[in-house]
Amino acid sequence: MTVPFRIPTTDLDYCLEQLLEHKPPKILPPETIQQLCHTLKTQLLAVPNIMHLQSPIAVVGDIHGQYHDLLEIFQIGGAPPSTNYLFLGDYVDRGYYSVETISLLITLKLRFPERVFLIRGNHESRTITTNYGFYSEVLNKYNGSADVWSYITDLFDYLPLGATIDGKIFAAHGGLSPSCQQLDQIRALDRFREIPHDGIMADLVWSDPDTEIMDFKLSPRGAGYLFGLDVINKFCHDNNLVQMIRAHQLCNEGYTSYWNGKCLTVWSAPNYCYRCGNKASVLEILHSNYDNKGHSSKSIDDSDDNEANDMTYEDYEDRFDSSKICLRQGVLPGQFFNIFEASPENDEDTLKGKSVNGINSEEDFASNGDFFSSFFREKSRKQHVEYFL
Amino acid sequence: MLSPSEKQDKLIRATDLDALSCRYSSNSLSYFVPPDPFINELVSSYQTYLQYSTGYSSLSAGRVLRSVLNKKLPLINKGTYLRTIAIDLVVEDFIQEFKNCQIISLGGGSDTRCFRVLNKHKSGVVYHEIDFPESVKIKKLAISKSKQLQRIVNCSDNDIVDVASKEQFEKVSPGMHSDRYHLSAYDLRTLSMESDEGRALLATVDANLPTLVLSECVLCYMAPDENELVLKFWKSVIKNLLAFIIYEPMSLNDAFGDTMTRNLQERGINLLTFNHFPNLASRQEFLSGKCGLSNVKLSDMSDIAGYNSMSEAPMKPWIPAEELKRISRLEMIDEVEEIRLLLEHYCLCYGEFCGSLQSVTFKGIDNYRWLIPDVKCSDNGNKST
Repeated sequence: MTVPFRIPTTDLDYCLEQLLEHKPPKILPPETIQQLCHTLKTQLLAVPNIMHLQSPIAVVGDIHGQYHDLLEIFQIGGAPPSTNYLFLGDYVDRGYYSVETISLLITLKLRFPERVFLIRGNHESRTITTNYGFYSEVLNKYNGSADVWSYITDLFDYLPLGATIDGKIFAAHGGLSPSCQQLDQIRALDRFREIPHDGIMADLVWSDPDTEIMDFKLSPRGAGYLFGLDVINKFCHDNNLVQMIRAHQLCNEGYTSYWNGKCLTVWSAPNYCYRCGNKASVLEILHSNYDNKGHSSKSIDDSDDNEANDMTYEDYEDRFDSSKICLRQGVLPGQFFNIFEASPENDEDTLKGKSVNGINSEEDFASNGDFFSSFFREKSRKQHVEYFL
Repeated sequence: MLSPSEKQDKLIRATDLDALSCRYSSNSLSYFVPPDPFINELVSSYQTYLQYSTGYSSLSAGRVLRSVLNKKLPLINKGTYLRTIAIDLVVEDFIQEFKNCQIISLGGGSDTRCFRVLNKHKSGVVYHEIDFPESVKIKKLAISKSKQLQRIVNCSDNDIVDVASKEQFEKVSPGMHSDRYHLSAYDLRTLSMESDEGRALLATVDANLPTLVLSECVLCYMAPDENELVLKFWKSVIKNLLAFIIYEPMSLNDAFGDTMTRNLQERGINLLTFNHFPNLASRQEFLSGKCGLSNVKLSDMSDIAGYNSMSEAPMKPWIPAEELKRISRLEMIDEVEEIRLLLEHYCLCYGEFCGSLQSVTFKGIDNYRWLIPDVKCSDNGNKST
């Protein structure tokens, strides 16, 4: 078997420099994106549907094109390769920097393949990205050409569907499926396709937990299901798991803990859509040294989660006290939700929205030679956050 | 050059175009059944005449209009549908109950409800629209250009106007009056019985008809005491039943509300009642306490949209289940939390003054589910807060 072609690290470092060292970030040329996607697809062919990962690892939820908030995540959690990362999907749509976000993640994955792991979310799909912003953003930033959208959505077909951490924790984007009782059923799927409307693959990226039910119910989203306590207990029991981690649902406090930590939602897009004013978080998993039942020493009420944000001086000292964290955040021992708020650039995005217009000013000026036309083109596309007025 | 207060007014007027754009988007995606045939007339009028309006040039108007036809996000389309339908339902029930009645739309702007109502009810209903002169002129020009609209409002040939320049636009008399439709240009903030304008307006209003006053995101741009003055102005005018329906945003004192305040401020829009009456309770206190309205009922759009799972309520839901299913199939709302959060921040409030002629009340309003129903009128044993 031929060894897959690897892009030289110097080239990858140059791409990283373009994206990270400039403000606004410089988008990569279409030929570069094509090559990055092609190389990554080749690598991902060999990756199973459910990846097998180990702690310590930081788990990141929905990002939705909020590029500067992704950089915040690297600030607070440590940048790869010094920290391992598992991203739970929904990299694009809604935010104004989907192109830069997914480009950075692809480059980081190629540069640090054993440190950065990406799974698929419901927005990593051709139909969804056509309606929720990624497609339009590509057209805007690449002069009306949708090639980059094609390269990237083709790549999405190759992303794995889930991961286990230390064999005990199962991570997927959405949730569980009534068609799936065993992890092996997921492993047996052919994932290299567009997300179907129903079936295990659809449910994995669309479902949500619901603390008010015990079984499955149809989801108000129009795809996937709501699943309850009996479902997750049985799934964990039958697959030797202690916990499920997922993203997919907006959380005002940045995270939600259900059923005493049996299921966690991690949400990583602060001030979602520049409108919701919510906090975001990164779930840091330092270890998983506890019994298979995943019991922490005290049982807790989900409503205690709200205390996480009323920090007093005594609380500060408790910050590093594992049992108190478990109590407050509803996590298992060795886990910790690192909460953060929107980056300053998040606030500026709606007003200036420079990068939305895809104008890397020097290039345009040079090619057009007409300063005023690019000024007016830029002015007309200022994006407002929509409300009912 | 516009003065700061003129600039403020221009921004408030611009929200009308925003609302029109949202309605255009929802309509084009078949949220409204049957489709609204009048929205396009208003869009054309804006496209032709906005450039002559105060504060705009052909360049700036062109820039603004370019985005009017853009498709909006699914949650915006759904929310626009909900606000339109909820108020349509109340108006329709009011007309069914009182047969001969009066609808007064404050800040109606480019709203097409007047045409839909008058098209359906060829007699018995008198419809008034009051807005800034600039917005009223654009509506008058829209009617002037359309035989269909002229027939519906039953205007005379004298009312037909056309303009081709800023000077002509400025000179056009903004009012339009017929036996069933009155379009008047006033600044709602300065309306009072004592002024000439106030008296001229009153001449067109029938004080003896049961009257429903609509404020769809209008009073929110005025200060709380101006709100009170507007409500009391109409109370002094109408001798029969006077009912109010108010739809506008409220901050709920949370992060979403803070972000909304900031986002709108950066656009130059100041919602004056947004933080002052941040929730339903404070609005109930204002409407029944300070303003003296009775039969005060309040709800939020998230509840009206059926996002609260309290389906055991005995009253009929605002939107029947089949209809909710139909619109959910039009576009996929992928994130339910976001739309619920957005809709929770919009209230729908009702209140009435019973008038001196007869102490009638609007019975039909009790049929709907309200988060805060008034104690006095809950015959089915509901307790209010």
